[in-house]
Amino acid sequence: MAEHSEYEREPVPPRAQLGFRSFIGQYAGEHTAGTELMIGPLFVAAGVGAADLVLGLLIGNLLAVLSWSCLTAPIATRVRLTLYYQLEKIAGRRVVVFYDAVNGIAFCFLAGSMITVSATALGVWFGFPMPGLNDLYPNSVGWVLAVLAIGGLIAWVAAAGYTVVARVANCAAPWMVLVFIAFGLIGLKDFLDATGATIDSPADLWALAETVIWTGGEPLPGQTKFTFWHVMFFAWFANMAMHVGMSDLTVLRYARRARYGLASAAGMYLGHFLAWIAASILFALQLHRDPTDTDVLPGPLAAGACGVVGLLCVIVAGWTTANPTIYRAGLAFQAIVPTASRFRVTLLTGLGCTVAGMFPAVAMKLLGFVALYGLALMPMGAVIFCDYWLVRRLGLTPFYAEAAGRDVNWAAVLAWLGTLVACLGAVQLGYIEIYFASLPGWFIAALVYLAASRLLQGAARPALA
Amino acid sequence: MMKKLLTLISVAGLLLVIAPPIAYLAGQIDKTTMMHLMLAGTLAWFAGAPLLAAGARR
Repeated sequence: MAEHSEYEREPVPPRAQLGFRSFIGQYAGEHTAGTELMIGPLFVAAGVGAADLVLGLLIGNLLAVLSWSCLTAPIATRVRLTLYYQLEKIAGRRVVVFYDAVNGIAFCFLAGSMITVSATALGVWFGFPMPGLNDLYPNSVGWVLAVLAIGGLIAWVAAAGYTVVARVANCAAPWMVLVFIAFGLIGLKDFLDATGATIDSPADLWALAETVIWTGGEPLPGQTKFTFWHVMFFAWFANMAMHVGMSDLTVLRYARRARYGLASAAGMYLGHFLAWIAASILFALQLHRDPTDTDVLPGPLAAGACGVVGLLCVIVAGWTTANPTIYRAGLAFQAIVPTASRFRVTLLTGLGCTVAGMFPAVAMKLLGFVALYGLALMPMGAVIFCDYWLVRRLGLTPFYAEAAGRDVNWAAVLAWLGTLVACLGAVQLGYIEIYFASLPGWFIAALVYLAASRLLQGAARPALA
Repeated sequence: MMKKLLTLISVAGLLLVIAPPIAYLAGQIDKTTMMHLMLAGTLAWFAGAPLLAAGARR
């Protein structure tokens, strides 16, 4: 964001701080991505009902915006450090390296699913068999070659530096948002034609939505049934790593005011409300026309709606979001081995993402993966929150790793790993679904961090003094 | 002058992307016409917006 310095190890100075509009554009662009074309249809595959979907998305996205505004932005605008540097001060250098590795791996899978989305557009042009909803492995040579071609190109561009793609992404964002809205309008018209229904009032539209589009029946085989609570928690936690997990400290440290966190509403209500609903309408139409056609393939869905423009949207949406994701993953891995060339690390990371993209399991199980990704990084957000707001009030030392000159703050490690073990254990034993586990997980992480800090700092106090 | 022209092309491009689907929903145009207009709008947007952005950077 800054022209000459990224302020990686210093607070962002007032002259580099940005206004509200910068954040509106950034959030709107970042959250109207290729993966939205997978998530919307997967809601339909999960048998969601109309009221559950609309209310769940409205409230869940509101909670996400409030999380950015009330949790992330206040700390970001007071401390003005990157997540990594702040975490290094709290948890120690070695913990940040481990966190980088987890973050990098998660980014690889996310970018892989974006490459998968783009490759489905090539399938429309070249006509090779594409994976189905429950496929785990690549199912044709054409599919593997398509992913390899798109993934290889994206990896090379990311390695070479993605300034040009970032510019294309900025230019494409308003166009992409409109094409996503167009998907919904066209899908609605095609539904009217397919059912012979007419819309003369909002009540007619709602009746069509309830009885034909989002009927709320049984989920497709292999999918979890989604209720209002699933949709709400999914919408809230879809970007959990960024708001509750504090990843966006790095972005919002440039904000002049904490209330600029409200700019995230642009991303949530354009990308995670309109785009998800529009994409889900297209898939519901496909199922309405042929209930046996359960394949979630954004390329054919978009091409059926608006032809070449739809295919271009799928490719551009996948490409422009996969590129910065690969770049970020490369940076995360490079931080682990600082002497390695960024070009090579990013290229290798991109090739890893491409291999992940060949396996449709990641994209087809995207709802579960997104929930897992948020859960994996959330405990460090709780640690940062407690360290800033509570630790000093409890008579403890904030930024403990820096103050004590340690590479590892075991209180943070215990909070992170303990929370993951507790939450994933509860999920595995069937006590709670992955979509809900992060909420109790946040409180577990906070309590463990404060209790462990009390124990560790109490024992080390004479040494610190 | 050039900036105004590029702005006009870009705005027209965006309008051509979103207006045809609205007209299609209202039953005023057929799907093929809608697709052609959206493609024209897309070309106009990507012809105008990058040049406009490059001008703003300079």
